[in-house]
Amino acid sequence: MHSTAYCQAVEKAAEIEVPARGRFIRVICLELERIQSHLLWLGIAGHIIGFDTVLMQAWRIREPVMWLCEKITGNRKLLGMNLVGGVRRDVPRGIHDELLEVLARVEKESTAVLAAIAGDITLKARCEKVGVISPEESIAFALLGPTARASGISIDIRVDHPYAAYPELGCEVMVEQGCDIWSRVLVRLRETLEAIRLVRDALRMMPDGPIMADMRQPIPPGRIGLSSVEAPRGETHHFVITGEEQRPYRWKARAPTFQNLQGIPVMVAGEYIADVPIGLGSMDPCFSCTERLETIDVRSGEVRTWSREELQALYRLRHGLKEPL
Amino acid sequence: MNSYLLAFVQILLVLLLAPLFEGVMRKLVALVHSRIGPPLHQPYLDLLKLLGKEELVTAPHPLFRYSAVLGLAAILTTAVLIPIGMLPPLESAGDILVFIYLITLAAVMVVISGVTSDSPYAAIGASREVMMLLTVEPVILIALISMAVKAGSTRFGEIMAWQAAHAPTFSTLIAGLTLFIAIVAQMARLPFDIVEADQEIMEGPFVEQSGPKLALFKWMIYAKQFIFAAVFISVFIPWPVVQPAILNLLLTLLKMAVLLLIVGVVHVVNPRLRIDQAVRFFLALVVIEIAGLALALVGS
Repeated sequence: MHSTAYCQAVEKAAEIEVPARGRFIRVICLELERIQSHLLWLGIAGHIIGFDTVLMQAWRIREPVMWLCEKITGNRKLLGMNLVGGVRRDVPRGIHDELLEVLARVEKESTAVLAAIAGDITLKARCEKVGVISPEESIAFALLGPTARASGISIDIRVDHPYAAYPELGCEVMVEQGCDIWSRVLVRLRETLEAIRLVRDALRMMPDGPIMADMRQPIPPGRIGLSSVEAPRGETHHFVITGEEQRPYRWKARAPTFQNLQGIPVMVAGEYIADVPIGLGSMDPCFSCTERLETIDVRSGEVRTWSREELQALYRLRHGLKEPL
Repeated sequence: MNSYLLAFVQILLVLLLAPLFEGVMRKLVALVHSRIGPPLHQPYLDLLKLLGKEELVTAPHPLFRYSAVLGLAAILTTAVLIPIGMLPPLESAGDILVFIYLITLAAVMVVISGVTSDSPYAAIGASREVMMLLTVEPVILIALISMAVKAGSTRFGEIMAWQAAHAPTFSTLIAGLTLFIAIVAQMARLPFDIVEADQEIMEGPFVEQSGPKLALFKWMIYAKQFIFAAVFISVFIPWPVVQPAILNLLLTLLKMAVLLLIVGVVHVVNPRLRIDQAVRFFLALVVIEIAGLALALVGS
């Protein structure tokens, strides 16, 4: 996800055209990540409400996708496929059949899971009309990705600002109107099926040819590049200013979790304690992506936001390191 | 045989077999999860490990230390009052009402463990335990009273003998089904695993318990599971009664294992309900049961 966004930003800045096969391989990797990410989330969401059968089965369905990623790229996660100008390696011809077979199995089993949980009364009792956030509030808090789509907002970078091979492949935006946790489950499961469709089409439509652009020209300094990618949790933006010696001069990434977290107070307000973990879990949070710390003094009510420098200084102070960084 | 000796044997039976039943349950859950699962004797190893640990006292209240002992003691006392395939060893000492009191005492010890620990999670767990106690206990009580009305006695032995001699009626079926749901809750199985809820409140009342105290609480939970299975089988499914008694005991243990497997299936196909949903559910059960009790009173 992030490497695609970063590479695209640099490619935009330097006006590098990625060959078609490279773009298709990027889509295959992105969508395989989406499949495994959504299945991982489904398992964790099940676990949070005590439904460990869903956890175990969702992760069992997910595992062959991880093996496939490893076969194609060498890694289970963080595939390491992207280079500025294209991708590192080709998807070998010999693996196509296996890829299609695994996808068929994942599709069959995900559909079975969808059918099984759709009729579960207890599950619905825990998910329907819980963690509600209205479309208006979703827009006000600028929620992203599946969390926004479950509140009836049709936003998806793959359709709104297509990149890689999405212009050729097209993509259906999965929208649900329920605004609750149940809708978020449905959006993610339907997106998993759509991702399987995308990988299949990408394999079928992938043209022959190079996977890397001609990178012999140096990347000019001082150019600005901005790119967006639809990650499983929502949109990821990367901003780059190119610098001297083929290095970035400035780089800023924005992951979707920090934005999505803003909706949590609305989602859990007035709910039971038991609904707070699943309310938070329903937006698939990634706390390491948030890069912000606030402390509230309970006596004075004073709110303080800590910068990274302050946190580092605090850390060094606590560990007896006098020198500031 | 000396009834005191028999009582002692029955306590040992509960203490020693309860972890095995837990092991069977874990294996079944693992099977549905597509996991290999822990070995059958894992609960024994868990208990041994915890019993061998140093005792940490993290809260000053004396009852925090003794709640586990008292809880297990209460459950073991019920072991001499209930029938496991044969007549209760100390039948003269107590009937279904004493049984209910003792079960409640064990639940109260869980509440005390919660309120005496200085943890907000334990406090929430304790309040949930109280709510469950107030709604699940009446369900068990009314189910057993319906049976007592039919049998004309509150003694387990006579209820068992009556049920063995008669075909099921509407009121006994209602009592049996509602009691089954109540024991799923008493065994802290999903969808009623609300008191412990490890993903929400981190084992609730037991969050501060560790080492030998936790081992006793775990043993209490296993024993409670075993005892409720025994009560359910003896009171509602006593047939066929076979001779000699030892064979009947083995048959009862087999039936209890089957019952626990059914509870295990309910456990794996359900997420956890919220406390308010569970309370509403059990109140609805109470209404159904009162209808069943009325049927029993008019002789149906």
